[in-house]
Amino acid sequence: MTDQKMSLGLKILTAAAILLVVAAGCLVFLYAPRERVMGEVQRVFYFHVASAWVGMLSFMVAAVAGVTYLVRRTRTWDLVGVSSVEIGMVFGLIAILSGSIWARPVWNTWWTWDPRLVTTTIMELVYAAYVLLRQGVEDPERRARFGAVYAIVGVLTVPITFLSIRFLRTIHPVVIGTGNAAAQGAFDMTPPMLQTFMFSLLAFSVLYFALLLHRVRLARRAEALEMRRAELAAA
Amino acid sequence: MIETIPDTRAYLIAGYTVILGGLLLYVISLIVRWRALAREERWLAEVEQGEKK
Repeated sequence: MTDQKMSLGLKILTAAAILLVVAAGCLVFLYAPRERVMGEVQRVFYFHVASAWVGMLSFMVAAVAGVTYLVRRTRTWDLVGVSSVEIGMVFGLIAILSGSIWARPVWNTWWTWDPRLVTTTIMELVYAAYVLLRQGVEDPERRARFGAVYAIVGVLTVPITFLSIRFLRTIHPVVIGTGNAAAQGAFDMTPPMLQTFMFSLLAFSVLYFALLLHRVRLARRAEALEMRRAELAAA
Repeated sequence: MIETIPDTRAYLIAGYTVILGGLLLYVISLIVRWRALAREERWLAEVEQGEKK
């Protein structure tokens, strides 16, 4: 039987995630100052980076879930892995699209073959392949094993994407750490900007964990239903 | 010298439409899938009861 009623903990986490995202939105639009060179579009940066962070966090969690599944062989870890990848893909896509919108007035183009943009897209495609390939495996045990190994290997795209703007020639601004001279659209963060940025990261991280628990709940229910269906067919 | 800040509000709106719209769509997809499962569970329960009779 699946846990169809939402637990109190999940209700609290969901409410906290909604409140934090709303509060982050207020900080973005009411507290953070307008940047002088880019104008209003710079405000996209707060949720764009937070989305990219959640995308990478999701893929890292999927890899940890993969390792745990291979060690313990518990079905729940497979569900955590597949759920985390799905959420990571949503946030990754949001980061790519919002980045493209930011780039249009700042770089004067929607898209450029910059190392950060390319590695992010490759990361997204690697996990799109994960979802597609999983669907091609019938046996749940094999699917879970395959998914776990794939998530562990696939997570290599995360450090490559993160470090691409630090080691390769790029025009993408570096937010954390030292910036590169060729970056276009870079800016010095004032304390209110930094506070808004950090708060957005926190809000999106909490949102991620809330979404993950909801998605795992959904996966558990789907799996239980699948088993019931199989039992009925066998009877 | 007078500094003019470029008017990039349209891109700001587009950016947040994509971000918040994307999140909303995902949440809706979770709700739709949850409801579809609930519907299927009810149907299965009916089939199981029918078989018992």
